[in-house]
Amino acid sequence: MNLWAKRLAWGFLVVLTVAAIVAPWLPVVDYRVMDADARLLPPGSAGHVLGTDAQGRDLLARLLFGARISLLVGAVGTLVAMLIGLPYGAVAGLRGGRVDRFLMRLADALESVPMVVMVLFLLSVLREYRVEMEVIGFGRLQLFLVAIGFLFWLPTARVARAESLRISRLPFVTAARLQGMSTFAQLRRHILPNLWPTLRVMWLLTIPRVILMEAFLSFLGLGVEAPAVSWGGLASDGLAAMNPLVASWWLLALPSAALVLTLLALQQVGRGEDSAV
Amino acid sequence: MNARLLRRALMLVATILLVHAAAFFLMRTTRGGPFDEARALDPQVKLALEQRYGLDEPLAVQYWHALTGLWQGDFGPSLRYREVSVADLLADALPVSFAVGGGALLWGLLFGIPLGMVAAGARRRLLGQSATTLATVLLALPNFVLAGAAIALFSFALGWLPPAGTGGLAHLFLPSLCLGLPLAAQISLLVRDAASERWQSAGVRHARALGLSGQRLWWAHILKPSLTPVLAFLGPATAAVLTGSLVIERIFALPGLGTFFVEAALNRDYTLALGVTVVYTALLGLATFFADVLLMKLDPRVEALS
Amino acid sequence: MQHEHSPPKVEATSPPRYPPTVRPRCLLALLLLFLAAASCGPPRAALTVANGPDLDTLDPQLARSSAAQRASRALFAGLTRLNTQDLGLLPDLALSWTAEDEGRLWRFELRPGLRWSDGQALTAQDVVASWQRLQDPATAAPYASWVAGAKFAAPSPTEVQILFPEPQPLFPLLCSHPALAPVPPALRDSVLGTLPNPLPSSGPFQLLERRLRDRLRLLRNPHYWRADQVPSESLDLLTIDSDITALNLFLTEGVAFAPKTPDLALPRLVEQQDARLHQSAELGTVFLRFQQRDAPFDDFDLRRALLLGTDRNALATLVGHGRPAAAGFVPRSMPAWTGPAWPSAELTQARAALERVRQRHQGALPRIELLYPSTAGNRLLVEALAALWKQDLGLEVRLMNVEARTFYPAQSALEYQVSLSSWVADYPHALSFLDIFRSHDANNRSGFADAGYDELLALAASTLDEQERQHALQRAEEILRDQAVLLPLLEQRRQELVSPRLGGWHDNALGIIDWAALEWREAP
Repeated sequence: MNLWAKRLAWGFLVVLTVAAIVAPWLPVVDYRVMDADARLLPPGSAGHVLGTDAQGRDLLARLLFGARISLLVGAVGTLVAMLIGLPYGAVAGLRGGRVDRFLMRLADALESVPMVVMVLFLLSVLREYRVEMEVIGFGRLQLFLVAIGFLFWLPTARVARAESLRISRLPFVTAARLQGMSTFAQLRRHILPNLWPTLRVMWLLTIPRVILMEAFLSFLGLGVEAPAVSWGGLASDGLAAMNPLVASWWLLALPSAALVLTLLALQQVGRGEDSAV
Repeated sequence: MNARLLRRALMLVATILLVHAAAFFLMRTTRGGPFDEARALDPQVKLALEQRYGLDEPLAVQYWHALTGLWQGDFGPSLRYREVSVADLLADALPVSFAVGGGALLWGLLFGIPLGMVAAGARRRLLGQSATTLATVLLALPNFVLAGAAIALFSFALGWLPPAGTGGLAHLFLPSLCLGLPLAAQISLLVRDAASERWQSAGVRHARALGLSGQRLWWAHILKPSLTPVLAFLGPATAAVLTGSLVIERIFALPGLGTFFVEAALNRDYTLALGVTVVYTALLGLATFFADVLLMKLDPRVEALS
Repeated sequence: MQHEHSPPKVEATSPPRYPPTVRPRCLLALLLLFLAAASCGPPRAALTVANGPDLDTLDPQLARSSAAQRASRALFAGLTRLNTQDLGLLPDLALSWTAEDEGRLWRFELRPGLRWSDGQALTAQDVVASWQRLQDPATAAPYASWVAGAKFAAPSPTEVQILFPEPQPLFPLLCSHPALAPVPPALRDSVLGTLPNPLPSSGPFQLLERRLRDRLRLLRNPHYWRADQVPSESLDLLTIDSDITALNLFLTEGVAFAPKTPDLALPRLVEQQDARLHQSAELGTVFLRFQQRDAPFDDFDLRRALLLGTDRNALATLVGHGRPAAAGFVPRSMPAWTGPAWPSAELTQARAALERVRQRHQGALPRIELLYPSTAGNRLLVEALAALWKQDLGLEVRLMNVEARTFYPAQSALEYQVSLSSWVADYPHALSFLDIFRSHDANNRSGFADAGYDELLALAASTLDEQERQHALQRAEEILRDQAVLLPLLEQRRQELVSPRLGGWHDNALGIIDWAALEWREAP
């Protein structure tokens, strides 16, 4: 039963990723086009399978293009987090002693900084009007991805440290160290390759948190630049649409369903590796 | 033990100072000040305003004032609410945030622990699986979606509870619930993992072999030890509550710390933003500290392990 | 930055030491704390209204936001007031006024026996001292320019004189604004940035209590000159950020009035012809500002192409939310105004103009960036604009959003190409709009400078002949149109929710509320 669930989850993720990648070439309506005659159509309407929003924009198209952003932010943001956390933790675990203590104290200190300060950072620095680095293609979106990565590197660092600690105690690594192998070489040859399985799981489990963080930031108005959309942004717009007079439930329910299904699939795939059920 | 606690206390103070400084300079480096509006102010008027609030002094001097003010607990006047001091605003906001945040933690425990127990006890049966699935789904939902669904159900459809605002217990019910349910989910997963591990441990098997069963078994040997990870989670739980409150307070229109923080950051109300940041850092630090103290008293082995 | 701890792995063979009743006790304590902290709301006032967000100050001379101005009108009376039905000028604290010396010298005769809410006499000296405070740069009042360079005198306790260097024919109209209302001695004497407690007032209500971010509790002021005509004995002004929250409160009769209707509830309310929705003109326009000093919008053809190529009606349908397409810069709802006709979507001419621009740039259009302040409403509007331009003109535009506080300095420093702007009138006259495009006006922010325009405006500001003023202003707006200085988009609409049980209510284009006349009735 569990294997079946895991296969289903993988299948869903693969289909979703492929659909997101080829979305610009799929025969769907442009997600930005507004149609005054097709406003607030419920799902199942002619020409708009999943309905439309208050400006007549097709929800299926918006969900597809939202997938691009949400998945991109999830995958790349997590990657950035791991690129920061992995070396940090691996070095701490490998070197041990004072280096380890210092690095972990620093991590503890950073951990006690409330997330809101990071939000403040995002509010302040990232939203500067002119981003000078744009000329080399490093625009707002890229900066956003890096910033998101910065929010999530700590868990990776801790896991990397624990694993690195364990691996570095193994006989063959101890032997290599005694033979004078440098830290860098130890990392490259022994630690990092053995870290791979744990990290893969870590990656899969962190992506949902990153996607949820993007949804949170979108709600606060700090999400991606218009006209790009993300699932979090769509859900947040759907929430704003809620009121007792007009029931356009699909605007909130469908993006939320997309989020939940994807995150559940990611958790299933990630946990499936080590769950002892 | 005392040395460790003292060190933690000092770290907390250092963190607050560091965060204060970082937030101060971060806010100042960005463009736009508290007096930039759609209607341009007369330059003389703008200068007079800046002089009144000390914004025309060199940055280092301003930082010094902020620092000495912090020491005395005086954050200065709000730059946006002209006649009000930041301390007053914080004093108004704290009870609301405490009520909602405290309520959220309460819901987290009230729902999370039993749910985790069910998930652990009936692990291979449908009941346990459903409990785990429920927890997982709750963790996959952004909290504003949860809030939206709750409002749609309890306010619009059933009409039992007010959709927003302040005014009494009924107004705090939904916000604290929506903030607390994701916590409950995480707590339930922690409890489930710890409880099922305990269930399989040597000590419990031994106790069962001796004829101990039912409530006493659960209470003494499974539930209490399972609470250790829950306590350890108190720090991160507080952090989650603080972050989540930004969204929940906005949806339910509650005048708590989160609302003030977002507003202050957007309006460049430097003093208020700094004040809320310091309070947040202090709250988080205190919660973690408190959790650590409890953990150490609960289980001296934790201290020995670290 | 926080994360989840993994549970510390402990192997227990004996039960832990704390007493087993700790947990239930802790929970009980938490529960009690929760209940204690839950604040119970104060008893209901006779009249409760939603006052929108951000009431930043109670000082009428510093009040800028509409919420603050509404509160100021409840607390402080001016020398004159506006009739809420037709925005005509009525006496308030002043009985009568006359002009001399071509409108440079104004004399106001105050009513006899005026008092502040604490019983102290309200005299001409109070008025003079208040206006001096307004003028003082240290006060940093936003409307200080209204009394710039003026000299004041109070020859008798009931006569106020004000002498301007230049003629100010519209001054009595300005006196109805809270900025020119007299402020009490206690406020004048208090340190700037603090409010005296209690706060004496001259208007229909006085301040009882201010609960921050929650509400203002007001009581009827027995010393108001027409206090006997004020039906409500207490008034609550609630601070509510979200219009949906306000709507929900309104529907459950928690508030009698809400200043704004959420966009998504509008179509249903309109369709049902719900009498509670009051749509009235608001003297405001949403428009695009072109930065004309630098490329690319120093090119007249590009500006004209956009001006001709924007289908304002389509925009109004999609994202107007009740706001009609703008017919010009000064809104049609401006009393006694007939403006020149601006062109509507003429796509062939627009495309031709774009073609000329394209040829000037070696076959490709310059990259266009649209800067806008971040709010959800603005985002929709610019998304619609971008979609329309793509569809009608084949023009791609890059959208850039910044926070409001970053936006305005960027706009003032002319660091943008085209930006989303809006302007709302301070007083019901076309001059309040056209004024801003004078060459060196601080609100110009577009690099537009035209000597002919400035002359027309100088004439309009100084002449005593209303006809001449209107002609000059019309010619001024023609210049704005012919040179494509800006792109008007939508006229702002006030969409207020007014309960049928609220008596004494009149809609008007400035959204002025006569608090002294409002009454919460038992039945509609």
